Amino acid sequence: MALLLFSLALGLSFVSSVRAGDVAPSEAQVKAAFLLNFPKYIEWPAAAFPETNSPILVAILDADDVADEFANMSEGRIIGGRPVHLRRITAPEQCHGCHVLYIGSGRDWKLPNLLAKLRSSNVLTVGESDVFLAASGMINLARRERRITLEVNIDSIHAAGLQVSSKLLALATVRGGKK
Amino acid sequence: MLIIMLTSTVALLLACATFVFYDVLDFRQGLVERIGGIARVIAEHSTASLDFSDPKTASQTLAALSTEPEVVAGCIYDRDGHVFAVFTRDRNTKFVPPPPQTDDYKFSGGRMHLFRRIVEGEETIGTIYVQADLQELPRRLGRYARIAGLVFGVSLLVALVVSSRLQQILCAPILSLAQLARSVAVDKNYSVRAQKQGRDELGQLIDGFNEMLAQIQQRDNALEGARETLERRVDERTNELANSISLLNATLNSTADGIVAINLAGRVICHNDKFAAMWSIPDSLLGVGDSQQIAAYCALQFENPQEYLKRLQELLAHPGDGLIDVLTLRDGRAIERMIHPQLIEGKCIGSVLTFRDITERKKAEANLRDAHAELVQASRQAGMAEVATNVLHNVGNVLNSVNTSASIVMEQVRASKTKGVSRVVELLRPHSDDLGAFLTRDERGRQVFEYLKTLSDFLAAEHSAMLGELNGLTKNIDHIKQIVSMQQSYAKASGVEELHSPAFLVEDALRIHRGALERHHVRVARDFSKVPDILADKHKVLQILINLIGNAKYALTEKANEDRCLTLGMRAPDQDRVQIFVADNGVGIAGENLIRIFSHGFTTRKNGHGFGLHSGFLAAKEMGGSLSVQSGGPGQGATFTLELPVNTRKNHEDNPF
Repeated sequence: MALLLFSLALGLSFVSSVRAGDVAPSEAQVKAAFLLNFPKYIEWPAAAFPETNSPILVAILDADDVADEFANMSEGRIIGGRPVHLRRITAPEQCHGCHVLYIGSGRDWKLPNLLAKLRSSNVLTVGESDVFLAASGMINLARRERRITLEVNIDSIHAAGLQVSSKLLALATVRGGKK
Repeated sequence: MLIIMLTSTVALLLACATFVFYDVLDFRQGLVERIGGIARVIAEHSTASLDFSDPKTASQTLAALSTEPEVVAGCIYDRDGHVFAVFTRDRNTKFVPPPPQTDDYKFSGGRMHLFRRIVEGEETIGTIYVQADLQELPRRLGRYARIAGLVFGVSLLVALVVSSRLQQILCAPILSLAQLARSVAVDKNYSVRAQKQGRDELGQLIDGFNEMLAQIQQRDNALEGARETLERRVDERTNELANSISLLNATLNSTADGIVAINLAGRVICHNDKFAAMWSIPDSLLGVGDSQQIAAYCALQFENPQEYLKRLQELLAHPGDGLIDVLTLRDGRAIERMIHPQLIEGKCIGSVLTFRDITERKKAEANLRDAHAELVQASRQAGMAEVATNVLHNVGNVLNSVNTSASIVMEQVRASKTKGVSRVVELLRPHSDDLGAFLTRDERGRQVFEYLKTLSDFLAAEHSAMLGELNGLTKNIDHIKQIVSMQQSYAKASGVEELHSPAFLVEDALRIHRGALERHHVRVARDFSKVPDILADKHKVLQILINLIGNAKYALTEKANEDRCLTLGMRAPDQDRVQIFVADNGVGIAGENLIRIFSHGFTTRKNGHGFGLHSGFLAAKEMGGSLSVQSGGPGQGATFTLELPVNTRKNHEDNPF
């Protein structure tokens, strides 16, 4: 009986500890983590990097909470042999030379114009707006039932000269392409 | 039969066990490889799900595990070890994921637990866990057991049939061969042979066995022959040896010497009866054969036993050289001891000691020495007799002269004119008163002066003649005195050594013979060189010289030749020696006599005794000198040479007697 109680208590504590671990991740944290993982699944043309160990530059526009989390997470991270550097920007023009551009919500009306300028610049654009893909953005982080899901505009990615891993596509809702 | 079956069974069981064991291992290894491969593929495809927190996709990927029937459950953990996605085959099964581990697998509780890390680049982003059921294994084992049992039974059956057949083929000849071998071993009959039944290995074995028997038979015969030869040779050798031993014993006992052989360890190897008798050694002591004990027993017969033993030990310790010495026993016996090393191929293995009783010989030697001394004495006395004869002869000669002189003197005295003086006195007596007138006037008186003058002259002449005769007489008497004293001194043989001039010695010797030499008209010549004085016994030298001169005189008188010459000479060949020659031109000596002329008893004279030269020869040797002779032969004369050392005493140690 005592043994049963003990094992029951052990089981409860295990479950609770798992729950406790699950708490925390805020939306900004999740987005920052996603943003940090994207370069693993994206292949840039060789011309995008001056050298083989040149850093991957990630520019974040209009999303300070994400930028803060990202700054914490990207500290010392090496992806594909390259370090990851964050660049906080306040204007789209400042993203020149970056490989990833994250655009926060709040500029939806400017998005088509902004993204059109980046069309041929090898920059992976990540956004968090329902209209982001429609404005020819590449990856959108959409909120669905308390989870962040991925939406990918494969046409935009190909147009920018980038390749995306099928593993990423398997998780995402894909628009465009041959369908 | 039983052995064959047992062997088959064991072999089969071993084979089955090995097979099953290997299959279990193979099954497990295969399961690990299969499940591990699937786990790796799932891990590969779960990276994006983990990266983008998509457990749903991960669960779908994990569901691929259902293709393996053994897999019961599985799960994926994220980077922090939290369960990310779960798979269970049966939804009703209660599955509690275990804490994540690194790459590993284990078998426990009939399940296999396998962990694989999920790696992206060099970064571990999660872990996959798979749990598989091993129920398949017992089923497989059961199946194998049935198959093995079947194979086992069939195999045993076949083995039973084959072995019973083989037994008839194989065992019958082997059993008969064994029977044959046993009969050979018991009866020692090597002439039997086994029957060959086939050309297989068994046939070869029988051939080999028969060949072996043939060889044994051959060896046995050869051995028998060799043994007979050996026995014959041993008999021969034994006979030879017995012969040798009896010969050795006979030889040992036939000799007058005591003989004993001792080996290096001090054991008495053999001895003869004479040895035991000589030392009065009891049989019990000889039976023990310890040379130490025997030597100790012998030593008691010496004045100083310790010294004898010590000396004997030294001699036996170094037996390399032979040795001869003389032992003197307490009872007066003299024993000559000879030690010979016993050698085998140059190596010393012992010593042979020979003892000879030489007491009698020693006595004989002593007697001989005495006899010789007597002989020498006799010789000397004979020499003395000869000398005495000569002396008497000489004295006789001299006495003739003395007699003549005395007669002359007597005649002269008798016929002396002294009476004339008396007559003058008678004549003068009457005229004593007027002597002057008588002498001047009387006729007769005047003649007195003339008479006295004549008488005086006559008397003076007579006096002179008598004085001369008396002088010669005195000389002759002196001569006699000398001769007599020489004889006396010679007879004394004083042995006193003094310095003498060789010339004086020669003259002395000559003087003894002078009368005889003059009588026989022998001319004496002298050829004296200057020589040093010699320290010697005068009488011995004189004895030799007198003898030599006497011989020379004899040799000269035998000769018809009128020119009889005796030459005496001396010279010094070096400063230590003096040579005196006595040479004559007499009858000489025949060559064959030259050798034996000095031997005892040899003489060529009718009345000779043969001692003279012999004793002279010995005397010369005695003084350290020599006496030798040279002669051209009969009629050629002879020269005797006496050589003496300047100091004769130096060589006295060489005196043989």
